[in-house]
Amino acid sequence: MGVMLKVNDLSVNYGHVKALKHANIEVESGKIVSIIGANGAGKSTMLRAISGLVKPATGNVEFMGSALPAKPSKIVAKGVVHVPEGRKTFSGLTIRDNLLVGGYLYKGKQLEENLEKQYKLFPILEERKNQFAGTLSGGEQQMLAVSRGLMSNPKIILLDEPSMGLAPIIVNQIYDLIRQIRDSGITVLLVEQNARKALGICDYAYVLENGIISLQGTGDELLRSDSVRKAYLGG
Amino acid sequence: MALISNILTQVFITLIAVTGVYVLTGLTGMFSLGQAAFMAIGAYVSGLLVVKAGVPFVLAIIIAVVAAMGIGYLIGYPVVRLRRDYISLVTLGFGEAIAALLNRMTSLTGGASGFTGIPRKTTLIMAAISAIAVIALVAFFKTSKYGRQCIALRGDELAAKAMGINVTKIKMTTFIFSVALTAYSGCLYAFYMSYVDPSGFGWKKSADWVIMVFFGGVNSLSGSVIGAFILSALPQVLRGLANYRYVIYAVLVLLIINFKPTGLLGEWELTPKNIKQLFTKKKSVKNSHKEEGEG
Repeated sequence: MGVMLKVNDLSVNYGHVKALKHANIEVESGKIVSIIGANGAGKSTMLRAISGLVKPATGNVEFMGSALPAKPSKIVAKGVVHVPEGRKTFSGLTIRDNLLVGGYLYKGKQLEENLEKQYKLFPILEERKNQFAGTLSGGEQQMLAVSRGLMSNPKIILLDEPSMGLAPIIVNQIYDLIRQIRDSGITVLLVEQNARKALGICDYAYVLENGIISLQGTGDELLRSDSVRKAYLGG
Repeated sequence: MALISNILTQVFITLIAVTGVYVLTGLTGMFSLGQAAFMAIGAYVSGLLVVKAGVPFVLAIIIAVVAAMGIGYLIGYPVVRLRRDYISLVTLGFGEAIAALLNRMTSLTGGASGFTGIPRKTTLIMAAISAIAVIALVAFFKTSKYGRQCIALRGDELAAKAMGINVTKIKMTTFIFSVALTAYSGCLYAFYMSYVDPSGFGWKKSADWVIMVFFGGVNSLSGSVIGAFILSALPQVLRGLANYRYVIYAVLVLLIINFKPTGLLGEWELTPKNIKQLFTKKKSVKNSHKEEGEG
């Protein structure tokens, strides 16, 4: 398995604030890679820079051997999809329409097939397909957001804090789902504050601190590392 | 009979303009307080072409709509890149500038005293067919892929961008589409009234249209159309009550906004399927409405 996504020397500035400073990460294909870190460490910024929502000040993103285009619309067409934090579902649309928006690259039969695939993975979404997305519970909205991302048939999915604000039992469901996504052959880049969960599931992980990658290793290595335990796992 | 036909023709012309506003505000969440300026452009350009240059009526309408779309592109280019609250400011300024320009260009437009002598070509049938065609076109647009993308970016622009939707392009297309509809209503208006003056195209008119859309339901095309129908017919029907009609108008709008903030119809659309559903399982429809209000 080769390296699918390579972030080289990536820096992002918001005005005077340097959110990300010369970060390098690699994501191997078919793996789950986690980025953990505290609030404001630059985790979401990393995903936004990869998906083209913010412009990097330095560095570039390589995807399957070539540089990613700059526009988000072209990046999705390449097979990189970003599910932003905070369960941003489109409340004015029904669940089915939310999914169709996600699959906008396809039409006709292919689109229907994608839809069926998502309904199989998330039966709850099929049950409620004609309801407006705003009527779903928090966990269901998160599932809808992930499912909507999968509608574009990505090669890699960028998940930003999928466990945010959810009950522990729902978080477990979401994590089972992330495993299923990986097992179906889609690479996952996961950003989390919930370090224990994120390190437990991943094949490889990075720790971001004030915009700098301070540590990296397999999930087990980081779980056992003293500094990670002190800073993120409560001793 | 002549009075009713007069009222209906004007109502249908307004419906076309308000459908244009619905496309912009209802689908993408952008507010234009200068939309009436595009109606003015449609009215003046088509009127001038026919009266001063002898261009045939239909061709004049086409040129006027295209001209308005061109101006819409110029003003839309910066506008769609702005945050939503700034969009209303810029369009407000643009609208007032157009009105001022029409006032000043006395030799061409007749200035504040108006532009007269436009032949009367718009009929009730023509206005009615145009309105129905425009509403059908917008209904089709709403359920199309583009309509879905519009509603998606209205709901959450960042998420829409992350999904790969080209937000700027979609907003621009919708803006120009809305401009074309409003300009077309302006053409019909000029050739119905046979007289236009700049005072009728200020921000008050644009704001009126926004009120109509919200009154009927900003998330529902049928709601916006019904809202426009009621609110544009009301002052005409109540003509006998002199200025009290505006009091009634205001009270009605306030009542709706207070007790049903999502408008008369909320997100409900008047489609055969939904009407059938309303009669078969009234309860479930009502429940889903309640929850929508919260979301």
